[in-house]
Amino acid sequence: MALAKVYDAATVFKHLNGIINVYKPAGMKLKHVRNAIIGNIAKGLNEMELREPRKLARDTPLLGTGTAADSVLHNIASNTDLSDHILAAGPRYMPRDVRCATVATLGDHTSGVLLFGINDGLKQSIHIQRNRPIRVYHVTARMGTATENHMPDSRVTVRANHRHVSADRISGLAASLQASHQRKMYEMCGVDLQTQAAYELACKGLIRPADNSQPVLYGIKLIHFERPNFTLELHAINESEQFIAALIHDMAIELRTVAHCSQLRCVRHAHFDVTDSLLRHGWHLPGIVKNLRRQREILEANPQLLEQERIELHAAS
Amino acid sequence: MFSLWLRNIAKIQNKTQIGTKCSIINQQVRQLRTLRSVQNEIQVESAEQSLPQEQRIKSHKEIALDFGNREAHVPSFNLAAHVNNSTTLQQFISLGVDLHSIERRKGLGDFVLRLDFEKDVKPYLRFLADQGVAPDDFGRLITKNPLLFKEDLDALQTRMEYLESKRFSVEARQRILTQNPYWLMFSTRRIDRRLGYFQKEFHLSGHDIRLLATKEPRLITYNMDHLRKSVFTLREEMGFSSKELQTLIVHKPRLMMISPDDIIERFSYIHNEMGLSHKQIVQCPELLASREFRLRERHEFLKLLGRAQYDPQKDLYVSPSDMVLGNNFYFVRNVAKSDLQTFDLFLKTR
Amino acid sequence: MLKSGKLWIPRLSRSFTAKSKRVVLGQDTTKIKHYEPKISATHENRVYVWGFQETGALGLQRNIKKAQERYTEMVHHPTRLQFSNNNDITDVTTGYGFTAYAVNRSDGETLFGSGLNTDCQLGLQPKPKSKEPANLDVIIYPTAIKLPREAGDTDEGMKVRSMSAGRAHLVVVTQNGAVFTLGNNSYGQCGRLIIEDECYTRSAVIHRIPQADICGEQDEIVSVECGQDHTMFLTKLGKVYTCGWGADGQTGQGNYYSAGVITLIAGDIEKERIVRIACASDCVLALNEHGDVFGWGNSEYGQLDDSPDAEMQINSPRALQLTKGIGKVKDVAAGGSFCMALNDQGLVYTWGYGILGFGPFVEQTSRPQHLLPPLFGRNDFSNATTVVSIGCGVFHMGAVNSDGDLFMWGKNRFGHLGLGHKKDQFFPFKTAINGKVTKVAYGVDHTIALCRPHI
Repeated sequence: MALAKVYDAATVFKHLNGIINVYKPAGMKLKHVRNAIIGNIAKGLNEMELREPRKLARDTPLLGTGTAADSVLHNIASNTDLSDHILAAGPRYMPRDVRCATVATLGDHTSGVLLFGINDGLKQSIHIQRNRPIRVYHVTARMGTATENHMPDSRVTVRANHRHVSADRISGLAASLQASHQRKMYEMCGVDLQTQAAYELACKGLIRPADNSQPVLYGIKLIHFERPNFTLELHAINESEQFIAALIHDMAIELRTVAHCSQLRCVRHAHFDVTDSLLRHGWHLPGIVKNLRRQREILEANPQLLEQERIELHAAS
Repeated sequence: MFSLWLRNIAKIQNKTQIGTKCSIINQQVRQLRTLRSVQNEIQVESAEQSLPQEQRIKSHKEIALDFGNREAHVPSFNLAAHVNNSTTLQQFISLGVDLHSIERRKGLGDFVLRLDFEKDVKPYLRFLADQGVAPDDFGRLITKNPLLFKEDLDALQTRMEYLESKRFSVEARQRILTQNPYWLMFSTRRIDRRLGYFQKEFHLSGHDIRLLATKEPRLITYNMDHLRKSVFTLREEMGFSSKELQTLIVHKPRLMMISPDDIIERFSYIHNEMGLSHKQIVQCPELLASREFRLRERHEFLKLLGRAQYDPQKDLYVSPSDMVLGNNFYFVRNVAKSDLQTFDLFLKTR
Repeated sequence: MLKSGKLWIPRLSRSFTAKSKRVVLGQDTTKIKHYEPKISATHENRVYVWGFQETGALGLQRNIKKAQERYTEMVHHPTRLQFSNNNDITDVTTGYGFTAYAVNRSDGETLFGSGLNTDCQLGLQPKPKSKEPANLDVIIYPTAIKLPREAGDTDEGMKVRSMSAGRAHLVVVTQNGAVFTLGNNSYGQCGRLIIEDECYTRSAVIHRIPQADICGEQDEIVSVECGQDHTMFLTKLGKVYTCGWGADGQTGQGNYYSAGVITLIAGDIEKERIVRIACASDCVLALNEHGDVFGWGNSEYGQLDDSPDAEMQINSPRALQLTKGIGKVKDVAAGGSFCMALNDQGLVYTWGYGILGFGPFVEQTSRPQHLLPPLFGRNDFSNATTVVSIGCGVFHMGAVNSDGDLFMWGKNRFGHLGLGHKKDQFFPFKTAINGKVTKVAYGVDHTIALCRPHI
């Protein structure tokens, strides 16, 4: 596809459809990210070449504007429909003109990949959401202190030592948790265990949950251990920040210590990777348009993302 | 707007159960619908067609409602509806006043609509021009504070004279008016009380208070409750001494206008995580004015590179005030001496 | 965060905003209680039990009255055995309604048991001192079984090397090479002469056989395996000695008699070095060091031979033709009507009759068929997971994978699959156990798992 330079806001807005992949910073509410994105889109559009105010049909003289010579009053071309002027009617593009919805939500403390459907991309975002693709998290836990909501920004409740915790202990526990959570997916897929259908599902390996009521974890792996921190890689569906934080807390209790989640990062959502995501300093119109194009390529390369009714699950999707 | 009006008529129609009236109004509604469709066409076609329509409306004038003079009866929701018919509004637009932003604030739309440019506006503009405000700023000033036209011109004169008596220079006064459109709304007595508060609270000299007011004129007219909270946070919670506080306020008056919750968060990060002493913070108050995530990103990046060294006595000193300067590109190039790709990769691990 | 010399004294009465940062910043973390965790490093193993409890085989109850209550009849979920918290349990075996534990203890006791004791398979237990009408047929909490010692027997020597239990008998081989048999001997399964009309209730007979009497001085017994009413000893040189009930040929002695004399068996295994024997009721599978499978005993469902004119009972060891195609076999298990084998690729093969793990419609296969690896936890997230050990009871099967997860399927008699309900399970399903499973003892109506805790 050949790319042409466009200076016209209307053309850009017409093509502003699709999915964008935004890197949500930790500590920023989802609402604020969304507002920043659509605010910046509107701002960017308003800075481009805009439609001129309409002309009045009849040759109505303007009642009181300055002339070219006047330094105070700016000159306005005659028979301009002033009610259509930017100063009177407001900016040509307002944030509420941009339709925008997330594919799946991220908690306040979570950072990482966040997908937005923009304008006509809302359809795609709904399709992706219905597919319940897997999300991959890197969760860093800090052992030694427990906090009220298992996050770093709340009051410390208990302290404990963690000399006895070692990497292989954590990975052993992680493997066991993983198997137990995978077992849970049979409960979630809505099939009676005593039937042939359940057997056939089980032979396929992993399956998706039937609804988004309960979180299901598919993979838990220890990827980094450096006392007092350890990092887990989680593959999950329907998870929430609170669920992961509680999981870390429970794991720590199982390891005979206490811990809280010091960092929560979503590194992948379906095929949308963190490497393609848009950092906060790139949240401007050119960056967003470029990102839209990149995500469109990903969607074209993986059409199964928009397909419906897939029950089996693989690590990559 | 037009459709809303139609809907209102439909409502009236529902309420009035009398058949005859209904039929009349029905007729009217049909009429109006045709009118609407034609009106849309007007914008692209010639104007002549609209004339017979108007005549037809006039012929129905005596039947129910008078729609002849549209402005008198039809509610309007923005100033744009009146721009084409109002000299004042057209003058405002040519001044660069953002009517759209004015009408969103309660009551201001009405107020602006009633102004007469020659009588109510021009003397004030002349007054502002006399005070040295650049004509280019008029639009912004009026957008911010159209209620200025409500004040008495003599009172404004008195307020300026008060500033003059307090030995504010011409440039200072000019800056105050440009930067803070609300300043003139405050009575002399109120401004005097405010200045007195700052002088007493921070033990400022006359020169310093003038510097403070000129640097951040908005501070003087800021919400007093907020200011008291800020002072409490700075003095009691952060523990700056009055001498330190004085320098801090004079150099960065904006600190007082930041929400105390935010500023204490920043302070705690700078003091506890970055390990800067109160003395160092006073030397670079920009640190406190920078948002916490920015500080965090940059400090952690420097730490990763092993360059987070804020002690001027040692080698490889990085000035904390440089750290918050400029955009990310500037920071990465000149302070961190790295490249933007590395910084991006780093940010994606946060 | 405060500058030295200044104190945190809020002078004004002020309200904190929604941001609770101040509460966090102002917290003095040094005053928070420091929790010193207790690490369960003293005991290596942890025991989980589930299934039918009324027999007392689970050893969970301490109160006789409570044990007789209706709701305590079954334990649906794997439950941690309190006894294993205080004792270092090294091995466990299950009979029909009773359990024996091999224990390392400082006081020298090495064998404990709980459950049915109708034939004194857990030894003669003394009547408790209280006046309550004690039902000595049922032991509800693990109790020491005092093995008779001879002069020169040390505590170390009396530790259990191997043990196994049948319908109503228990056979224990200790480190010093003595074989102890307890319980019912009506078919000679205790390795002593059958006494007509012998009364086993309140009998204190614990028969001791030196291993030299069985296999001579050069060899030694490494393990013992009991079927329903027969006993098999496996020696270091790979020889198999049997005694007990032989009506289906399960003793493999070439006849269908029951005998109390422990005899070396020959057949196809005469020149083979057997490394493992498996038996839950009356069909026996044996495995040699090259991974070939041999079998004898009951073959009613074609477990041992699927040819149309096959015998129902095979009374002498025979090399199985059925398992020729599945590669080198690493582990075998034989249940009441089905058999299992695990090959060196970690694939589990089942054949015979019953719930074989192929869903509700497959009740019988004559050829071994393998269960798909995803059933045992292999998927994209754990792609190296294989099955490492298998086992079965009379009605249910189980497999442990390399992650230490136990998968079970089969008839769910009295909830002995540990799935939380009484419905049969038609394909392998993970049992919820908090630990890495190292050994599982599959009883007829209860299951005991030996686990390693996560920390």
